[in-house]
Amino acid sequence: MQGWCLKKMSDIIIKSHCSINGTSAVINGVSTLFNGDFAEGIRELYRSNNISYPKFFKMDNLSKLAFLAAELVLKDVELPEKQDRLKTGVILMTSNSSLDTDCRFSQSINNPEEYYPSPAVFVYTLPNVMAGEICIRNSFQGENCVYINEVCDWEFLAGNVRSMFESGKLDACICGWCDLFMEDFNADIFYVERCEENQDYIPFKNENIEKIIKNL
Amino acid sequence: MEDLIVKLKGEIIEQLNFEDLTVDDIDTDAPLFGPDGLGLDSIDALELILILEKKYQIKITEADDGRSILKSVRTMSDFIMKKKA
Repeated sequence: MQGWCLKKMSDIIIKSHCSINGTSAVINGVSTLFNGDFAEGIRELYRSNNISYPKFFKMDNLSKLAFLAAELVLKDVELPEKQDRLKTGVILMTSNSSLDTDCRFSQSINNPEEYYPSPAVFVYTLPNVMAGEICIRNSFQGENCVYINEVCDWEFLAGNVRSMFESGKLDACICGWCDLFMEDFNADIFYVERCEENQDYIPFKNENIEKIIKNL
Repeated sequence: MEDLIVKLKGEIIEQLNFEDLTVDDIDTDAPLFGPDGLGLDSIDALELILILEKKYQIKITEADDGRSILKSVRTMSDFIMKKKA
């Protein structure tokens, strides 16, 4: 993700991007096929990228999608030492929120004869758990939040990220869109950070975000 | 007893979604919680209680007993055998 233009230190730059949908997973422009249904495809993607995090299999599908997109976006990124991740955050947006897991949980308690509400499913009936999973995995201790909106509003999302950087609350951030309901899913996740002197990366601007998402 | 232990391990794998584990990977006497065993957490403890209730119709009535009952697969199966006797 290099070579677009030389930036000033005050700028925010895009270090990495990952998108996952029902047909492909694209990491910094390099595409691989997403095979099968969500469960099958996400498992294959997890294994083919040699990720080792047993808790992954306990997550709900929304968290699996967000977690895996974050893993892939950070794959070739050199993060600061763990103790220096106080200002690394996660800012996401979703439409269906935790509805997929809400429905699964609701179905699991519909039958009064088989009333065994699962605590492990119930804990995922909030969308911000996906941000938490990414923070736990990477020891991110900065601001994190999940917005719910009907469609992906990059202007709002990127504006929010910028204001976090401008106020000094963040120096780096995983941000983007992550949405899932049953077999309909889509994630577009960026890793952005404050520009260091003479860094040559893509500025975190709406036109660049759009170009990258559309793989132009 | 051995049959129950194997069955219990299978139920733990299924209930806790341990996709990468097989029955043979779980040490019967290893601690279920903490870094030396399966590394389960508090939510997993609730899932284990659910296994006892759903599959064996057994409730842990005294909260303090939970720690010793859920210590390992062996202690869980001992508890089930005792209750079913």
